Amino acid sequence: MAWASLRGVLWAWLSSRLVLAGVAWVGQTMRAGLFPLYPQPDLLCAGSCGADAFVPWVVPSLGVLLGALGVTGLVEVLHGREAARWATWVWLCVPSALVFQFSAPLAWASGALLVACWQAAEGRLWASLPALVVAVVLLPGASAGALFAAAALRRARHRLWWAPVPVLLAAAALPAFGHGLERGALPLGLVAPVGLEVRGVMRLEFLEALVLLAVLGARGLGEGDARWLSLAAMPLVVLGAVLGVPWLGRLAATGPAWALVATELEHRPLLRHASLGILATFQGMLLHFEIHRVPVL
Amino acid sequence: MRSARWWSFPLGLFVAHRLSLMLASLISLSIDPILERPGGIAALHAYPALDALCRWDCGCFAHVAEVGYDAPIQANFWPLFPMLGRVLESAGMPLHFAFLLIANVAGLAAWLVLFRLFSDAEGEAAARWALAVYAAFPFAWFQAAGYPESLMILFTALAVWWARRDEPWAAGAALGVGILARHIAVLAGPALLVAQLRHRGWRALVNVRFLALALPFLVAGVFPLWQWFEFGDPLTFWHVREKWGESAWAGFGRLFQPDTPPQFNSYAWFALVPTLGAIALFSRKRWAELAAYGGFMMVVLWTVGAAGLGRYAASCWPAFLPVGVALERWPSLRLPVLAGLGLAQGMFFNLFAHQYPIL
Repeated sequence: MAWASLRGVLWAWLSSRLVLAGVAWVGQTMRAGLFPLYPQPDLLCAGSCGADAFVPWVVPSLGVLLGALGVTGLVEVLHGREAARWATWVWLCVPSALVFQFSAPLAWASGALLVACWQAAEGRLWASLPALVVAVVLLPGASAGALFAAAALRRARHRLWWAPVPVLLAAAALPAFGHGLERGALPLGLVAPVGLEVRGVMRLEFLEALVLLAVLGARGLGEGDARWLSLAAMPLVVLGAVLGVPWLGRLAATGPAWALVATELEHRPLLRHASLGILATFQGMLLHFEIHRVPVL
Repeated sequence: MRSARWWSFPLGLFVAHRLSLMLASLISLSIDPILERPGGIAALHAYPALDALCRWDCGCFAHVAEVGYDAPIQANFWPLFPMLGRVLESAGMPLHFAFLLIANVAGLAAWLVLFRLFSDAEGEAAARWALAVYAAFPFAWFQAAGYPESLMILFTALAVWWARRDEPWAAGAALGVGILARHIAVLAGPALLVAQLRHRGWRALVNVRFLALALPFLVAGVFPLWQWFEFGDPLTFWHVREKWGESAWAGFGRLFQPDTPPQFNSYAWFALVPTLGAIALFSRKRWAELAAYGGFMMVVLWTVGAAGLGRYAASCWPAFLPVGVALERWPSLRLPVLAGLGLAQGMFFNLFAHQYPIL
């Protein structure tokens, strides 16, 4: 990755975390005077920042940095630097991606998976595999992302026989870690029954998944590399729908789906401006609920 | 140079903004249907996508539309918005839906005028960023709510637009109508004066068109005149503000005190964006009219408008042009600014939806 791109990632990551912390701080300061409804411990260290408050904020942030690196690297390989810049921001602003800031395992799983996808797109099998293992260990559901890594690898190397390796690896890792779920990671064991009522925040996550599936599906009808990559990005979204409806949006956000969808914005200024503002607005809404510990599920 | 389909950007942005607010209202109230305090409009509870758009003053305007000015304290709510609502209601539309329709039709028209104004001043690219920041500003949702903000913005924008084109009579009439929507529209008055001076220099003072500056007062003066007959005091709207409590005239000095309502302080942080924009307006001569309005308005808001600093700052549209120009010039600022403001908009809209005192 070129220094200019790396600098862009660092800026996007740092400014997005600062903005998030700033808005959360404003929300937090209002909480004391305004919100008697859900009295819970402070989200941020309002007035008394100590190590115990600092660590929970910084550790997930570093996972988000890894994810931003992965998205930028991946989209830069596939679509160039300008598309990568937008894709990174869109990924950071996706409403469900807010959860990364409050769940270190999920943030790091997502970061590792996206780096694995990036490295696969660069054709570096042996750099991609360890990252994929880390992702699957932290979040077994990330194994569905191995399909994308395989497709990206095939595109980069033009040799089909490499492609199943990430998938096989993920499949091997899944049973070993399927029941050793880390704290805060996706509770894969909670299989949502078919017909579960879609309520509360699930509506938002459901909408996110619909957008992803619609755009990826449309691209999947096209031709060339974009077709196979789009199709390969879909299983992670579908897996969420099948296994964990309440976590649908979050699972989708861990993978490369949003990065691919965001590349559609490159030549559409209106969509670019509007989508970023809209995504951020919904992330702000979820942030409000997070600050006030409103039970959203 | 403006493209033939220049309107597609403001139109598309408007549709996206309003649809996302409706979706946010729907999701927000379905996640947490508890309101922080009793209120809201019962007729809208069955429509959660619209319910969050009618809180606080929306109910006060509804009272004026339904009952009239039955007490002097109601004079704080100027008549254009409730009158238009009443007209649509008499045509068969439920009042609160009428309010939302009026606010949003005016909002769309306002964005189209603003985009034309901004792109004439600084080109289409800067205008896009300016309007995007304007839409993302944390309190921009007030323009979608049952409030007269959109009407005020539309008519002040038209007034400045006509003033810059040396059409002072149209500008004066538009400003008068704007004042009838929200009295602080009068703060755009200096823009009309500056436009006359720019076009004719000091000779403007002896030109017959200078009289057009009196037109806003003649048009809007209807309401004080009516108050004089009704309540015996043409400035009832001014004097009754005392009854709104100490926050009615709260200024900068009231902020960040131990007993300051916390939301006031939060308004101040976000109002820094248009404040910086308003200051920047003074850096270019071709922005003179905008500086006269934006600068004057921000000074007044910081001096006596702390309680409504968020909402009113969102109405200070001239201040967003320099912000758009800055974003066009410094691309690295675009995304953090847009995302940060959007993030805060989601949070504040949520608070408003749940009947927290975001006024």
